[in-house]
Amino acid sequence: MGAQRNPPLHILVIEDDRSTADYICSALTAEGHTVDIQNDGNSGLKYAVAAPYDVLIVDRMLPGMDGISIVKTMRSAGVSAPVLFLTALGGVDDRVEGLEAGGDDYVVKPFADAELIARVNALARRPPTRQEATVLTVADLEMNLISRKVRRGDQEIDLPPREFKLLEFLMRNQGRVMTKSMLLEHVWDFHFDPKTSVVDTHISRVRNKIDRPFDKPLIQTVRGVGYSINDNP
Amino acid sequence: MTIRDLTRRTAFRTAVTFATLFLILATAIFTFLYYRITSGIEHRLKADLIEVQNTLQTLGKDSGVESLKSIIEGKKPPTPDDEEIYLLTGLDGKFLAGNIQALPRFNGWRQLSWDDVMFKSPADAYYGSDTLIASWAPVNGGFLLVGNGDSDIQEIQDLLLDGLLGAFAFTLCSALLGGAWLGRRTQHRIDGLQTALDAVSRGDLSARIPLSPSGDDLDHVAGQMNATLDHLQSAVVTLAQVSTDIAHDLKTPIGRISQKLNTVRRSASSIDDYRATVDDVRGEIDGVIATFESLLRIAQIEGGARKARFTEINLEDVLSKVVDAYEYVAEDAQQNLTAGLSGTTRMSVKGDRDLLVQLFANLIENAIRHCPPGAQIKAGLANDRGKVVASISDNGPGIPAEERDKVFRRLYRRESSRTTPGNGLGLSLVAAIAKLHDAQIELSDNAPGLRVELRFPALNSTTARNT
Repeated sequence: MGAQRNPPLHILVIEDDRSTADYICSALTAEGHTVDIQNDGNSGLKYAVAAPYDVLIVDRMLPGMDGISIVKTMRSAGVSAPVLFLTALGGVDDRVEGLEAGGDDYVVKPFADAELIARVNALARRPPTRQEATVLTVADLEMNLISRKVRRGDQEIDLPPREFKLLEFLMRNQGRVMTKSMLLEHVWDFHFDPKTSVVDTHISRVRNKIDRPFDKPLIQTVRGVGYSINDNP
Repeated sequence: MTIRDLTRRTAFRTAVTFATLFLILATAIFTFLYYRITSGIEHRLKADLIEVQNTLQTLGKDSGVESLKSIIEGKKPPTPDDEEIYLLTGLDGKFLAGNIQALPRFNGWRQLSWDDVMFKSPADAYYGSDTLIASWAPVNGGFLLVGNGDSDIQEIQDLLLDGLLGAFAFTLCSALLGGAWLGRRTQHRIDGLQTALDAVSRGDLSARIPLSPSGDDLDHVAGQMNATLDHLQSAVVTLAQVSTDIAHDLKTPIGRISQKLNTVRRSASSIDDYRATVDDVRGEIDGVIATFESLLRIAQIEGGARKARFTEINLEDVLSKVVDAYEYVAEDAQQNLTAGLSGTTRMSVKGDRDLLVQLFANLIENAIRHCPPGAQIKAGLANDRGKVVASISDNGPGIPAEERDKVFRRLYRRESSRTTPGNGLGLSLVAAIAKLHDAQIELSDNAPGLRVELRFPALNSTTARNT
């Protein structure tokens, strides 16, 4: 993968389906993370409350206690670790319910390992309270969030609002792969999979402006997964 | 129709119930009148007798028993026309004068049988009434009895009873006959209803309840049942259609997966060959999963639970956001996507933002995918008397009128679009979301092209329905 390696994380996976749990475990361990697996809701909650984890991956439907109740209980017990929900296909209300219960993100089953890894990394990196930066930089690319100006080297670049927002999101998460669905959710607030290439067309517009005229391209394509912006590809 | 059938009918029962109620009421009124009239007449009868008694008492006091005796001796024996009786006795109770021979003494007023009366001769026992009322009064040197037959009272009573019985008989007859007639008429309609429902329960969903020209409450119920049956029939037809379509739609990609796996198993010469096939197969599987996702999503949206989360949404925001997202996509397809938003009137509806975004995204994607380069695609918003009307129109190939209903069907794909990517669920999802929002969706000819119009309910009426 083109992105730089993430710091190792301690992750709790609460998932009753053994094969899914193993799939998640192998994908995350390959990334260098440590993974604990619990197969039912009650023991999952015990682990979540007892040990400090960096990220929790919780299935919505579990024997013993469902995912929503686990996270609600956990949150009221003061556990603030980010939670990624695994939801079933077609769960129209799952996102909203998950967020209301105190979840931070969600992935619909079946999912690609790259999608899960990208989302886990993004969650772990989200500090509890972040000092808002006013200027974002990647190599010689500079984005001023106050004046809404973008420049690369000494050249000022004019970006329409949507392209600005896309670049801002990539720059805020620099060095990490952002999947297409993550971009759709954060930049366009689209919580479905469009049939046309909304993300690609916008990336190509941004590239034309910030990469094409310069020697070193900054935006990387991760085939079949998404994009990242990187200082040293 | 047997008697048992008849008595079971609602109309008949109602008629009989009302007749019974009427009879009870009539009896109550009659009883009241009966006693009032009877006591009124009796009172008058007594008043007359008291007057006679008083006159005779005064006469006896003034002129003595003898003059009284001579007056009473002049009284003729009672006849059915004049049943007044008089009897004067001495203090010892011995007969002094009278038009009857004897009657035992008693205090106050009494109703007596004529049998108690001893007549002067058997020929006198000739009376019209059954009973008489009489009273003894003391007179100077004796006792005086005056009395009269109560034939007036009896006559009135007989008259009243006759009238009542007549009315009873008439009411009962007409209630039974009317009830039977109504019952037969209603039964005919209920039979129609039963026949139709029997047919439906046997599986014939095309059976409908015949309506009468009267348009009464039964017709109203029948009409509603017919509408429910229409709905049920179309749901069952759709369900059958969808199951077939799903099976068919999944058979194709799964068949392709199987072929690809067979080919690579037989003739792969390198790891890269395998890798390419795995990626290929993954793509196919993603397509199958996307189809399932859409089908489940549609089913969940149709379930309606999401309605509980409805909030006030500014459609102008939603539409401009979607147009903004697809502007470049259209541009890359050498089309022109523009938003014609009024910007003045408030364009709010009750709804779910995520679903509305998806609705307009699907419509715009649809237009982009089916229009040739150079096409103009317009998204518009208008306010028609409080109702927000959103529209997506293009000047592309359009959809022929006869196909416009079918395109909302799950997995339906027009012949001309079989070659373009898509699973035939985009417009079904649009229809499901529109229905959840109580929005009417209409496809029309944009001359040339297609115009999709969504008419949302007025904001306050939606609020009223939800609360």
